[in-house]
Amino acid sequence: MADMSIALLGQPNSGKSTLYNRLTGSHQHVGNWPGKTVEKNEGTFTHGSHTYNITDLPGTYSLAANSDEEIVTRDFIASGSADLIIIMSDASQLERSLFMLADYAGINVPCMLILNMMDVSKEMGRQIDTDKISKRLGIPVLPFTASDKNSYEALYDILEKDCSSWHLDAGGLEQAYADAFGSTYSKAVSLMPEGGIGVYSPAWLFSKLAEGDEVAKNIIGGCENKDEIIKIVSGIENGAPRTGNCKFTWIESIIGGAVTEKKGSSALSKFDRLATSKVGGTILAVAIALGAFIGSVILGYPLMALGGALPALGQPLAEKLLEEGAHPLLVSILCEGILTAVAFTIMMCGYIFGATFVFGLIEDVGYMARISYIFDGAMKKLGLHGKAVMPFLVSFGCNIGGATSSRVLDNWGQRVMAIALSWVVPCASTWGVVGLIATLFFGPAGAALTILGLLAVSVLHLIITSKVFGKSLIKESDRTGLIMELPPYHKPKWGSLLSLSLTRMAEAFKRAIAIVTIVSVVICLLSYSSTGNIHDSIIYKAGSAIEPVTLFFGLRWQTFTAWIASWMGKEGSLGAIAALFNESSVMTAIAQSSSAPLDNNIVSAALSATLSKPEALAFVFAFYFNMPCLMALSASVHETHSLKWTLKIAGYYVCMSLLISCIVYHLALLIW
Amino acid sequence: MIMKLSDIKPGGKGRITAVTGDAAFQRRITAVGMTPGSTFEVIRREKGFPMLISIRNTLLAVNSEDCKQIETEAE
Ligand SMILES: Nc1nc2c(ncn2[C@@H]2O[C@H](COP(=O)(O)OP(=O)(O)O)[C@@H](O)[C@H]2O)c(=O)[nH]1
Repeated sequence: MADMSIALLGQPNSGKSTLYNRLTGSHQHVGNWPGKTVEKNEGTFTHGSHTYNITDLPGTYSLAANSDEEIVTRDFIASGSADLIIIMSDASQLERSLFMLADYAGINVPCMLILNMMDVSKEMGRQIDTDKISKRLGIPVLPFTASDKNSYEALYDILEKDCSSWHLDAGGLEQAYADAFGSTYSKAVSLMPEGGIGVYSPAWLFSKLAEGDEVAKNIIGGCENKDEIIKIVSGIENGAPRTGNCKFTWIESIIGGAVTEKKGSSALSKFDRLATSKVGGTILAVAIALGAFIGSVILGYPLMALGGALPALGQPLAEKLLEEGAHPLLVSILCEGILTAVAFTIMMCGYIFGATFVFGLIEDVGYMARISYIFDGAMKKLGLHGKAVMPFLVSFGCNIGGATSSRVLDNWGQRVMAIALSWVVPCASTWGVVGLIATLFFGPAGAALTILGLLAVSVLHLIITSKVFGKSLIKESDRTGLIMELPPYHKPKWGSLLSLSLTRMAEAFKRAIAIVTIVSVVICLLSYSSTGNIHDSIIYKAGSAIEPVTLFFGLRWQTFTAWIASWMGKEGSLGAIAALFNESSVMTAIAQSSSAPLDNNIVSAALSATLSKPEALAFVFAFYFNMPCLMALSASVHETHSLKWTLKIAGYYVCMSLLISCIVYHLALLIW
Repeated sequence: MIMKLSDIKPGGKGRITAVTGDAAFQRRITAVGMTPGSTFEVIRREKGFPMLISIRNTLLAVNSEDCKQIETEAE
């Protein structure tokens, strides 16, 4: 049993996750808020003889009921589950980030204020008299640097105290409302129960009602004067700007005389002048994105190489086991199925590690917001906004990373949409396979043309997909334009980057390994034949039976099987091709495809002899637009918290892929 | 003279006089500090890009169409 429950509340970039991670270390649990698609982060920590539960509430700019994140946050605070709310503010942007405190004022749950980023604030030449602010607010105010371990002792000391009397003094804010709204305010407030409703004070309820907050109407639903109150507040126009003005007036009165600073300049730094310029900024963003992609591969290379080398163990291991008298089917499952699964998963993990680290670094130093700014126009065409660019960039390496990085988006619909669209982006392995097959059939120039064709269709696909899912995923009210802070540049936190990358990698491994193992064992069973000849396997019989149908889409049974095999991992289809045209064991070839793809002249000869050019082209398109691998699918389920939506989108991709290959095939038949 | 934020050239400074638009937009934009009375400077305005605005020590990127809903007067 914990001695105390704490919740962290703050705007994005206030340093909440840094504090949360430092406090809890590995004692964290990621779950889901009941009934909502919002991630719930809970952890525990101990200090001295005390144990604390801590909840990291979603980072939002206010407590308005704009999104699920904000509703979850409000409900949690109101439920009384936390004994203390720690409100985090960014001392380097004190005035603006205290908005959360002002939006909280009037909620009757004990709280304290942390002024984070004191190091940055000091560097800016700003001095903050926290004692003065603390007196004015009636709660502890702690100057803090979340990234510096020396800050934490003072926080632990505060937590040892009895917090039950830490009630934020909102008197000044109430006065500001009274001044701004006059009799409207006093009438509405006098109609509410004097002590407020639940944890909410009358003034807090008034401000939310004035802002047009639909959820707040439900809160006063039980109030006997409800209709009258609603009538009064419904006459208020421009409520949010007016209450916002009151809140900032109050903030100014709280920090007035407590903050001394040199007048900062609002001019852009030299680098930002380049980074936000139209042409230069775009070139820079593309260059950095490319560099990040290359950097991810280099960082992930050791693991990718390890994964790639693993299948080579299959052959000797199999021989050894067979010698020992193991059953051939079992040997096949173990040395081909499971080994391949492990190898693929390890290779993916390499990239996930690299990408999380490199893109995390770009985010950490503050440059990601500039990339979002640059690509906002392109994302807008897809019904999203600039912040959605991250999943797309990361997906060029790996769609798993793409799905995971959709977390930067602030509402669920946009997140699902970004994932759905990022699936069009071909991962590194997809490029590898496409390059090989296209070059083999059409030569280098033809391959280049093919790739141009693929890119053109990708753009169409993106537009169609955004139309197909746009309506149902993103409510009109969630189709919001970009409003984003371009944070000042920070020094990266190497340690937390490393641990984040390792955590993400471990998560991806755990999720993927089971599913990939099952699938590869199934493929292994299907392609097993006691004679060693592929013609005696189930996969051959089934494949050749449905070939008349698949041929309509331009897919022979071998390429159709390869198309399915790519669900397991995109390289998988190369292996399937190698095997099916070489007539050897499918799984062995799938397994070895990662290390030695199609280097075998017999296979290429058999391929070009069996497949016509239109069929090859059909396969390339079907393969490229296929749904991502199962590992990416499971990551998407995890991020969207919706199996239903993930399956829906996956089904859509499968159909689109066949449709596209069908069209391409029949067009190509006209040419060749 | 009242001008839309979207009509102000880079380098232009002013004070916000009103935030129009639907309630959800008003809530979102005030939460990042753009309230009537606050002073700002337009840092960048390029066609096809969000506007960059410096306000309350913060550099904000705001969708350019949304800037049409913010009314300002010169300082
Ligand atoms: N210099 C400095 N950087 C910090 C501090 N706290 C957090 N950061 C950095 O600020 C950025 C945002 O912090 P994060 O914890 O991700 O913010 P969140 O969005 O509130 O979870 C990250 O790059 C952190 O490493 C601090 O006290 N000082």
